[in-house]
Amino acid sequence: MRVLVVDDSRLSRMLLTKIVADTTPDATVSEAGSGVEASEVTKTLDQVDIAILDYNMPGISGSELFKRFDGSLGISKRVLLTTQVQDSVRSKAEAKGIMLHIKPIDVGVLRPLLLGA
Amino acid sequence: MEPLSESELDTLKELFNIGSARSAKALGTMVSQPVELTIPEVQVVQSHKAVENLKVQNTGFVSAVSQRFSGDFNGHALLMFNRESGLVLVRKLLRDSVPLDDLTELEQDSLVEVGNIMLNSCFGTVINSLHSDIEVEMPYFEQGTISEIYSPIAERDWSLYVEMQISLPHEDIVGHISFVMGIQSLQKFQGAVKDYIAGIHRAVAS
Repeated sequence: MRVLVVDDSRLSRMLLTKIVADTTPDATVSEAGSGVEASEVTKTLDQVDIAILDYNMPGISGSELFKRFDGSLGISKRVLLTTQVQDSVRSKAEAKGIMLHIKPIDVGVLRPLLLGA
Repeated sequence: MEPLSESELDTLKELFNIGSARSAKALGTMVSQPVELTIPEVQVVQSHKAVENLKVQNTGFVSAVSQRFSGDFNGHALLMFNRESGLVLVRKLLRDSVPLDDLTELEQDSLVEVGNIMLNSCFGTVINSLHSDIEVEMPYFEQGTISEIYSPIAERDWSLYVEMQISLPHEDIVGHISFVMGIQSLQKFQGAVKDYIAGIHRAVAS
Protein backbone atom coordinates (compact mmCIF):
# COMPACT_ATOMS: atom_id res chain seq x y z
CA MET A 1 0.00 0.00 0.00
CA ARG A 2 1.24 3.49 -0.86
CA VAL A 3 0.34 6.46 1.37
CA LEU A 4 1.03 10.05 0.34
CA VAL A 5 1.44 12.62 3.13
CA VAL A 6 1.64 16.30 2.16
CA ASP A 7 1.93 18.87 4.94
CA ASP A 8 4.16 21.91 5.37
CA SER A 9 4.68 20.96 9.02
CA ARG A 10 7.44 18.41 9.51
CA LEU A 11 6.01 17.57 12.94
CA SER A 12 2.64 16.80 11.40
CA ARG A 13 4.25 14.59 8.75
CA MET A 14 6.20 12.75 11.47
CA LEU A 15 3.04 12.14 13.54
CA LEU A 16 1.06 10.94 10.51
CA THR A 17 3.88 8.68 9.32
CA LYS A 18 4.07 7.12 12.78
CA ILE A 19 0.33 6.35 12.77
CA VAL A 20 0.67 4.74 9.33
CA ALA A 21 3.73 2.72 10.41
CA ASP A 22 2.04 1.55 13.62
CA THR A 23 -1.21 0.61 11.85
CA THR A 24 0.04 -0.80 8.55
CA PRO A 25 3.76 -1.62 8.86
CA ASP A 26 3.93 -2.82 5.24
CA ALA A 27 2.74 0.50 3.84
CA THR A 28 5.18 2.79 2.05
CA VAL A 29 4.86 6.48 2.86
CA SER A 30 5.83 9.20 0.40
CA GLU A 31 6.17 12.62 2.01
CA ALA A 32 6.16 16.16 0.69
CA GLY A 33 6.33 19.52 2.46
CA SER A 34 4.43 21.52 -0.18
CA GLY A 35 2.23 21.17 -3.22
CA VAL A 36 5.17 21.81 -5.53
CA GLU A 37 7.24 19.12 -3.81
CA ALA A 38 4.25 16.75 -3.94
CA SER A 39 4.01 17.23 -7.71
CA GLU A 40 7.68 16.20 -7.99
CA VAL A 41 7.36 13.25 -5.60
CA THR A 42 4.30 11.85 -7.36
CA LYS A 43 5.95 11.94 -10.81
CA THR A 44 7.66 8.68 -9.89
CA LEU A 45 4.49 7.04 -8.52
CA ASP A 46 1.91 5.05 -10.48
CA GLN A 47 -0.56 4.52 -7.69
CA VAL A 48 -1.46 6.13 -4.34
CA ASP A 49 -3.94 4.29 -2.15
CA ILE A 50 -4.47 6.96 0.49
CA ALA A 51 -3.55 10.63 0.22
CA ILE A 52 -3.48 12.69 3.42
CA LEU A 53 -3.14 16.39 2.66
CA ASP A 54 -3.06 19.56 4.72
CA TYR A 55 -5.79 21.98 3.66
CA ASN A 56 -3.95 25.19 4.61
CA MET A 57 -0.50 25.14 3.05
CA PRO A 58 1.41 28.10 1.66
CA GLY A 59 1.19 28.16 -2.14
CA ILE A 60 -0.95 25.27 -3.32
CA SER A 61 -3.67 24.29 -0.84
CA GLY A 62 -4.59 20.67 -0.15
CA SER A 63 -7.91 20.95 -1.99
CA GLU A 64 -6.20 22.48 -5.05
CA LEU A 65 -3.65 19.68 -4.97
CA PHE A 66 -6.42 17.07 -4.98
CA LYS A 67 -7.87 18.78 -8.08
CA ARG A 68 -4.47 18.56 -9.78
CA PHE A 69 -4.25 14.85 -8.94
CA ASP A 70 -7.69 14.20 -10.46
CA GLY A 71 -7.51 11.45 -13.04
CA SER A 72 -3.99 10.44 -12.10
CA LEU A 73 -2.49 8.26 -9.34
CA GLY A 74 -5.80 6.39 -8.82
CA ILE A 75 -6.15 7.72 -5.29
CA SER A 76 -8.87 5.69 -3.61
CA LYS A 77 -9.07 7.50 -0.26
CA ARG A 78 -8.64 11.22 0.30
CA VAL A 79 -8.11 12.82 3.68
CA LEU A 80 -7.93 16.59 4.01
CA LEU A 81 -6.75 17.98 7.35
CA THR A 82 -7.24 21.43 8.83
CA THR A 83 -6.61 23.24 12.11
CA GLN A 84 -9.69 25.41 11.63
CA VAL A 85 -12.57 24.27 13.83
CA GLN A 86 -14.96 27.04 12.84
CA ASP A 87 -18.39 25.86 11.68
CA SER A 88 -18.28 28.37 8.81
CA VAL A 89 -15.02 26.88 7.46
CA ARG A 90 -16.47 23.38 7.54
CA SER A 91 -19.73 24.52 5.88
CA LYS A 92 -17.89 26.29 3.05
CA ALA A 93 -15.72 23.21 2.47
CA GLU A 94 -18.69 20.84 2.54
CA ALA A 95 -20.48 23.06 0.01
CA LYS A 96 -17.55 22.34 -2.33
CA GLY A 97 -17.79 18.62 -1.58
CA ILE A 98 -14.72 18.61 0.67
CA MET A 99 -14.84 16.66 3.92
CA LEU A 100 -12.41 18.14 6.42
CA HIS A 101 -10.86 16.40 9.40
CA ILE A 102 -9.65 18.49 12.32
CA LYS A 103 -5.95 18.28 13.18
CA PRO A 104 -4.48 16.33 14.79
CA ILE A 105 -6.47 13.51 13.23
CA ASP A 106 -7.61 10.92 15.71
CA VAL A 107 -5.97 7.52 15.28
CA GLY A 108 -9.46 6.02 15.55
CA VAL A 109 -10.50 7.94 12.42
CA LEU A 110 -7.41 7.19 10.34
CA ARG A 111 -6.93 3.53 11.30
CA PRO A 112 -10.11 2.18 9.60
CA LEU A 113 -9.21 4.09 6.43
CA LEU A 114 -5.73 2.54 6.43
CA LEU A 115 -6.91 -0.95 7.25
CA GLY A 116 -9.67 -0.81 4.64
CA ALA A 117 -7.43 0.40 1.84
CA MET B 1 -14.12 51.81 25.57
CA GLU B 2 -16.73 50.48 27.98
CA PRO B 3 -15.00 48.02 30.32
CA LEU B 4 -16.23 44.43 30.16
CA SER B 5 -18.62 43.67 33.01
CA GLU B 6 -17.98 40.91 35.51
CA SER B 7 -20.66 38.82 33.78
CA GLU B 8 -19.05 39.35 30.34
CA LEU B 9 -15.59 38.40 31.64
CA ASP B 10 -17.04 35.37 33.41
CA THR B 11 -18.77 34.30 30.19
CA LEU B 12 -15.55 34.75 28.20
CA LYS B 13 -13.62 32.71 30.76
CA GLU B 14 -16.19 29.93 30.43
CA LEU B 15 -16.07 30.03 26.62
CA PHE B 16 -12.27 29.94 26.66
CA ASN B 17 -12.39 27.03 29.10
CA ILE B 18 -14.62 25.15 26.66
CA GLY B 19 -12.21 26.05 23.85
CA SER B 20 -9.22 25.04 25.93
CA ALA B 21 -10.74 21.60 26.51
CA ARG B 22 -10.66 21.13 22.75
CA SER B 23 -7.06 22.40 22.66
CA ALA B 24 -6.11 20.00 25.46
CA LYS B 25 -7.63 17.08 23.58
CA ALA B 26 -5.72 18.07 20.44
CA LEU B 27 -2.44 18.46 22.32
CA GLY B 28 -3.04 15.19 24.19
CA THR B 29 -3.45 13.38 20.86
CA MET B 30 -0.15 14.84 19.67
CA VAL B 31 1.86 13.90 22.77
CA SER B 32 -0.05 10.62 23.37
CA GLN B 33 -0.52 11.59 26.99
CA PRO B 34 -3.33 13.15 29.00
CA VAL B 35 -3.09 16.92 28.97
CA GLU B 36 -4.94 19.28 31.27
CA LEU B 37 -5.35 22.84 30.18
CA THR B 38 -6.82 25.46 32.49
CA ILE B 39 -7.58 29.13 32.02
CA PRO B 40 -7.07 30.85 35.37
CA GLU B 41 -7.50 34.36 34.02
CA VAL B 42 -9.05 36.30 31.17
CA GLN B 43 -8.55 40.06 30.97
CA VAL B 44 -9.23 42.77 28.47
CA VAL B 45 -6.53 45.39 28.86
CA GLN B 46 -4.68 47.93 26.80
CA SER B 47 -1.78 46.19 25.14
CA HIS B 48 0.91 48.06 27.05
CA LYS B 49 -0.64 46.65 30.24
CA ALA B 50 -0.63 43.15 28.73
CA VAL B 51 3.06 43.60 27.93
CA GLU B 52 3.74 44.57 31.56
CA ASN B 53 1.88 41.48 32.82
CA LEU B 54 3.69 39.20 30.40
CA LYS B 55 7.10 40.67 31.26
CA VAL B 56 6.62 39.71 34.92
CA GLN B 57 6.16 36.06 33.97
CA ASN B 58 8.53 35.91 31.01
CA THR B 59 11.81 37.59 31.84
CA GLY B 60 13.89 35.97 29.11
CA PHE B 61 13.36 35.01 25.50
CA VAL B 62 9.92 33.96 24.40
CA SER B 63 8.89 31.63 21.57
CA ALA B 64 5.72 32.85 19.93
CA VAL B 65 3.34 31.73 17.21
CA SER B 66 1.34 34.50 15.63
CA GLN B 67 -1.64 34.49 13.26
CA ARG B 68 -3.58 37.36 11.76
CA PHE B 69 -7.34 37.01 11.64
CA SER B 70 -10.00 39.04 9.87
CA GLY B 71 -13.74 39.00 9.34
CA ASP B 72 -16.23 39.95 12.04
CA PHE B 73 -13.18 40.86 14.14
CA ASN B 74 -9.71 41.82 12.95
CA GLY B 75 -6.49 41.31 14.84
CA HIS B 76 -3.61 39.09 15.80
CA ALA B 77 -3.65 35.89 17.83
CA LEU B 78 -0.47 35.11 19.74
CA LEU B 79 0.55 31.98 21.63
CA MET B 80 3.64 32.53 23.77
CA PHE B 81 5.87 30.26 25.83
CA ASN B 82 9.10 31.07 27.56
CA ARG B 83 11.92 29.43 25.62
CA GLU B 84 12.45 26.61 28.15
CA SER B 85 8.76 25.69 28.28
CA GLY B 86 8.63 25.66 24.50
CA LEU B 87 11.52 23.22 24.35
CA VAL B 88 9.94 20.97 27.00
CA LEU B 89 6.79 20.86 24.89
CA VAL B 90 8.73 20.11 21.70
CA ARG B 91 10.55 17.23 23.41
CA LYS B 92 7.22 15.82 24.55
CA LEU B 93 5.86 16.12 21.02
CA LEU B 94 8.83 14.32 19.54
CA ARG B 95 8.74 11.74 22.33
CA ASP B 96 12.42 12.38 23.17
CA SER B 97 13.28 10.58 19.94
CA VAL B 98 15.22 13.41 18.40
CA PRO B 99 18.85 14.09 19.37
CA LEU B 100 19.35 17.35 21.23
CA ASP B 101 21.41 18.79 18.36
CA ASP B 102 18.47 18.40 15.97
CA LEU B 103 15.96 19.84 18.40
CA THR B 104 16.52 23.48 17.51
CA GLU B 105 15.80 22.77 13.87
CA LEU B 106 12.50 21.17 14.76
CA GLU B 107 11.61 23.62 17.54
CA GLN B 108 10.22 26.26 15.21
CA ASP B 109 8.29 23.84 13.00
CA SER B 110 6.81 22.00 15.96
CA LEU B 111 5.75 25.09 17.88
CA VAL B 112 4.16 26.61 14.77
CA GLU B 113 2.05 23.47 14.30
CA VAL B 114 1.13 23.32 17.99
CA GLY B 115 0.31 27.03 18.00
CA ASN B 116 -1.76 26.70 14.84
CA ILE B 117 -3.78 23.84 16.31
CA MET B 118 -4.18 25.36 19.78
CA LEU B 119 -5.05 28.89 18.68
CA ASN B 120 -7.58 27.65 16.16
CA SER B 121 -9.19 25.08 18.42
CA CYS B 122 -9.45 27.53 21.32
CA PHE B 123 -10.45 30.74 19.52
CA GLY B 124 -12.45 28.86 16.87
CA THR B 125 -14.63 27.35 19.58
CA VAL B 126 -15.22 30.79 21.10
CA ILE B 127 -16.03 32.24 17.66
CA ASN B 128 -18.51 29.41 16.98
CA SER B 129 -20.24 30.07 20.32
CA LEU B 130 -20.56 33.76 19.45
CA HIS B 131 -22.05 32.85 16.02
CA SER B 132 -19.32 34.86 14.36
CA ASP B 133 -16.98 34.28 11.46
CA ILE B 134 -13.29 34.99 10.96
CA GLU B 135 -10.63 33.93 8.50
CA VAL B 136 -7.26 32.95 9.90
CA GLU B 137 -4.00 33.41 7.99
CA MET B 138 -0.94 31.15 8.02
CA PRO B 139 0.92 31.07 11.34
CA TYR B 140 4.44 32.38 11.75
CA PHE B 141 7.09 31.93 14.41
CA GLU B 142 9.00 34.59 16.32
CA GLN B 143 11.54 34.53 19.09
CA GLY B 144 12.58 37.48 21.22
CA THR B 145 11.66 39.41 24.33
CA ILE B 146 8.01 40.13 25.06
CA SER B 147 8.51 43.76 23.99
CA GLU B 148 10.13 42.75 20.69
CA ILE B 149 7.29 40.38 19.84
CA TYR B 150 4.31 42.25 21.20
CA SER B 151 4.95 45.94 20.81
CA PRO B 152 5.23 46.19 17.00
CA ILE B 153 1.74 44.74 16.46
CA ALA B 154 -0.05 46.03 19.51
CA GLU B 155 1.27 49.35 20.66
CA ARG B 156 -2.01 51.26 20.54
CA ASP B 157 -4.41 48.34 20.55
CA TRP B 158 -6.24 46.35 23.15
CA SER B 159 -5.58 42.79 24.19
CA LEU B 160 -7.91 40.00 25.16
CA TYR B 161 -5.33 38.35 27.32
CA VAL B 162 -5.68 34.74 28.45
CA GLU B 163 -3.35 32.96 30.84
CA MET B 164 -3.17 29.25 30.16
CA GLN B 165 -1.69 26.49 32.28
CA ILE B 166 -0.80 23.26 30.52
CA SER B 167 -0.28 20.23 32.72
CA LEU B 168 1.42 17.22 31.21
CA PRO B 169 2.40 14.15 33.24
CA HIS B 170 5.51 15.23 35.20
CA GLU B 171 5.61 18.66 33.55
CA ASP B 172 3.75 21.92 34.08
CA ILE B 173 4.01 24.51 31.36
CA VAL B 174 2.64 28.02 31.47
CA GLY B 175 1.73 29.69 28.23
CA HIS B 176 -0.13 32.82 27.31
CA ILE B 177 -2.58 33.55 24.55
CA SER B 178 -3.39 37.08 23.47
CA PHE B 179 -5.91 38.25 20.92
CA VAL B 180 -4.84 41.74 19.98
CA MET B 181 -7.57 43.85 18.43
CA GLY B 182 -8.20 47.47 17.62
CA ILE B 183 -10.87 49.21 19.65
CA GLN B 184 -13.56 48.85 16.96
CA SER B 185 -13.07 45.09 16.69
CA LEU B 186 -12.97 44.71 20.44
CA GLN B 187 -16.22 46.68 20.82
CA LYS B 188 -17.81 44.42 18.20
CA PHE B 189 -16.46 41.38 20.06
CA GLN B 190 -17.93 42.75 23.30
CA GLY B 191 -21.25 43.21 21.48
CA ALA B 192 -21.15 39.55 20.40
CA VAL B 193 -20.53 38.49 24.01
CA LYS B 194 -23.49 40.63 25.17
CA ASP B 195 -25.70 39.01 22.50
CA TYR B 196 -24.54 35.57 23.62
CA ILE B 197 -25.45 36.34 27.26
CA ALA B 198 -28.82 37.82 26.21
CA GLY B 199 -29.50 34.64 24.21
CA ILE B 200 -28.83 32.51 27.27
CA HIS B 201 -31.12 34.69 29.41
CA ARG B 202 -33.89 34.34 26.80
CA ALA B 203 -33.40 30.58 26.67
CA VAL B 204 -33.54 30.30 30.46
CA ALA B 205 -36.67 32.55 30.67
CA SER B 206 -38.62 30.65 28.00
